[in-house]
Amino acid sequence: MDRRPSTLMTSARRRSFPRIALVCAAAVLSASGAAARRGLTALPFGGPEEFSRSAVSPKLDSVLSRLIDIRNDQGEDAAEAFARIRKIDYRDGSVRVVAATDASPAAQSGQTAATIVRARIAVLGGRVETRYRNLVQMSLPLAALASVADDPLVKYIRLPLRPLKLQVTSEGVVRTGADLWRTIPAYRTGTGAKICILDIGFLGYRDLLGSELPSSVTARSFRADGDIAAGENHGTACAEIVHDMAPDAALWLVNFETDVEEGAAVDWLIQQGVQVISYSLGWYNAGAGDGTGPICADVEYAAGRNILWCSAAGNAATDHWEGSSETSYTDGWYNFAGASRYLEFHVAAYDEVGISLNWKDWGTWNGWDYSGSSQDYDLYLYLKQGSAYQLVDTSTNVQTGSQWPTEDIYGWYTDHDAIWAVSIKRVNGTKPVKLELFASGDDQGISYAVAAHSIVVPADSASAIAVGATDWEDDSYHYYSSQGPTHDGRLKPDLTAPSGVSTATYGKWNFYGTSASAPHVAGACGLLRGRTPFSPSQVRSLLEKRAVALGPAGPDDQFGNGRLNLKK
Amino acid sequence: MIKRFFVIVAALLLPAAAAEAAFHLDLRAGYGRFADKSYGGAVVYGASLGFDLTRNLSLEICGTRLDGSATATTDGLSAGQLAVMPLEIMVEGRFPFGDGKWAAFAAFGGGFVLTSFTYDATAAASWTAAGFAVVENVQSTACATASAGLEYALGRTSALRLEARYRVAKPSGTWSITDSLSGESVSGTLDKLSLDSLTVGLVVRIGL
Repeated sequence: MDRRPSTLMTSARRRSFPRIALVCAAAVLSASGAAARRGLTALPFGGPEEFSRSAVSPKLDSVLSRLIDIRNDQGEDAAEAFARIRKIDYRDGSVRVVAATDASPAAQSGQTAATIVRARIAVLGGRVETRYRNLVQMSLPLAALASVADDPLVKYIRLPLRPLKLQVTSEGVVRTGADLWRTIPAYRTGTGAKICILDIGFLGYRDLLGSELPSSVTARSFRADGDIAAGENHGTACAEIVHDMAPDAALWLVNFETDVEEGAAVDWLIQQGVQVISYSLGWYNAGAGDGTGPICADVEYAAGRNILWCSAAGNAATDHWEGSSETSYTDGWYNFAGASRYLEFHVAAYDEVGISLNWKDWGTWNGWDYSGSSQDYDLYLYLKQGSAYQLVDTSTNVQTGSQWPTEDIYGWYTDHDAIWAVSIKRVNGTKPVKLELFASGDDQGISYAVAAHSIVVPADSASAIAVGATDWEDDSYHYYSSQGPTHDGRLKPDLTAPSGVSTATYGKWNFYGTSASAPHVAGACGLLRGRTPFSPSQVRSLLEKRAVALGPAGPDDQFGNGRLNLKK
Repeated sequence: MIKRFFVIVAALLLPAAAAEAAFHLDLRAGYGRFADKSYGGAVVYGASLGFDLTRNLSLEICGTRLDGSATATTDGLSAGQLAVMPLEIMVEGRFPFGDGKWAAFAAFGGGFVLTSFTYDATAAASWTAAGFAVVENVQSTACATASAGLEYALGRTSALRLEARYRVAKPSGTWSITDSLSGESVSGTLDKLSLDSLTVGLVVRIGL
């Protein structure tokens, strides 16, 4: 099972991609394209017949099983090339993974189990990087993966979940009326608000101190390597918007890379007394879309400690599909719209493809983990060559009752614009479930796109203020902005806020996406928390009631309660 | 010691008929400061009407006004204009000395402090412009007052006094901020207000 979400590629991300990996993978794919043109079926790392379902352990992510197979069959160089394409942290024979220990009431507490597992990992030559609740993030020799997976205290071993930045490529201070608040004194509050921008990276933030950002900020990295910049300026641009909206707020710039690191960061932010979190990140396959899951649990935990969590709704309205598993199948293959085995999408040259499939059979969420799925579906990725579909990769996690109902494929790209396609195969379907698929990297929307329910995790949390994107000039809906409701029928997004605004970080490129919208709301929350005695729940209610209604009368799934408004 | 006490009492109880006038009017002006430094201080002015019970003991009804400018605090008043108007009944004793032109005096009493607070106009306007209403009140309260000073007789029925007056007043207050657009409102009480004040000024006493 591969639960690592794909990233929405942007020009900034592409620039930071290691050149050597880009050249290497491009060469691999170019070669395969040429091979296809010659009528050959040879594909990098083996043909379709070699894409066998995980044979190592049902407790091991299929991409990890495949990495093991490739190293065993084709050697270390091939394994490293595969790891580069799939962005697996694999160095010197060790791979970075997360072990979920059994947190079920019948077993030992997740904390205790995690402690025991930690000790065993050391014996196997692994190194524990960090730990949170029942999760242990470690660097482990590839050869030791199967041994750790076999440990009865280990429920599952996977790659770390990684957030994707919600930037499509951001001016909303005047539009929302935040500029009027510059002359409003604080009423019955002490110092200004404490706002955290929780993001992937803050490249270049030091250059903006005292100008686009406050003269001093608190910066801390929760990444294993401690790199606050992390080759990514997405967080810096978000911080700029927060500062534009709430100039007297104290800012915390905090970055992380994985779900485990995020948990530790949230704990620290609570200790710091942070009042607002601006979160322009989202996750695929990290929850059931009904406000449950480990990332939503972080939001609930923070909200329970009076933190307002402003979360980007997602940019997935045209990159989301869902359907019923009851629709007809042909030879076990799902028929999209009852007609086609292939769901197609267009991806520009060098943009990475990411596909995440989940189905609504997550089981019960116990606050730590889902009980898991007994329905098994697999995901296949193809590159369209003329009218033929050439298999590129698969995700064939085994679901036998305790694993998450998810499959992911990501990291592939070509050196030319290309049509990609995915297929869903039913391996073991004993009851009707709703299938859901998110794509990233596509630039024209996916075929059969369904905008409803495209809110990403953790914006689906009841405690998160989910923020959609509207144009800063005319309040028009931005086509990509994820729509509600949640899978349990709650209104989302809660608000919309300006997108397409200017930042120094992106220069001439306007900052588009719900990534740009969320910091506007976080800044507004900061203004209200810093200058008024309203409680967090009152601030949220106030913003929702003040919102400028857009679209159909009343709250709706595109605009929520409407566009952020601080004016009279 | 006991002998001195009886001399003072006897002086106070000298018949009023010995005084030149049974009523007097005091006009006072000076400068006052609140004990709570967040309220600043300003000009004090007021008047008293006194009735001489004896030659050196009088009963007075006083009215004073003290204006202050509050600076914002989180548990006290916000920035704005504070006016304190005590209405007091005082019993005053005076003790002539020297050639009779000089006297020391002391007074004790209490009363009721009328208060008025006006939230800073600029701040109020900016809140109003954003759709919020800020309301802050200080309730009137009882006070206890003591004063003392020196008197110099200017003539048979007039005198010039240098007076220091300390007043203890502990009012309560309320505040609220309401968003007119959403209806959200939050309010609270001001339980730790202190309008204790010290005023120093000149008083002109005129016999009526």
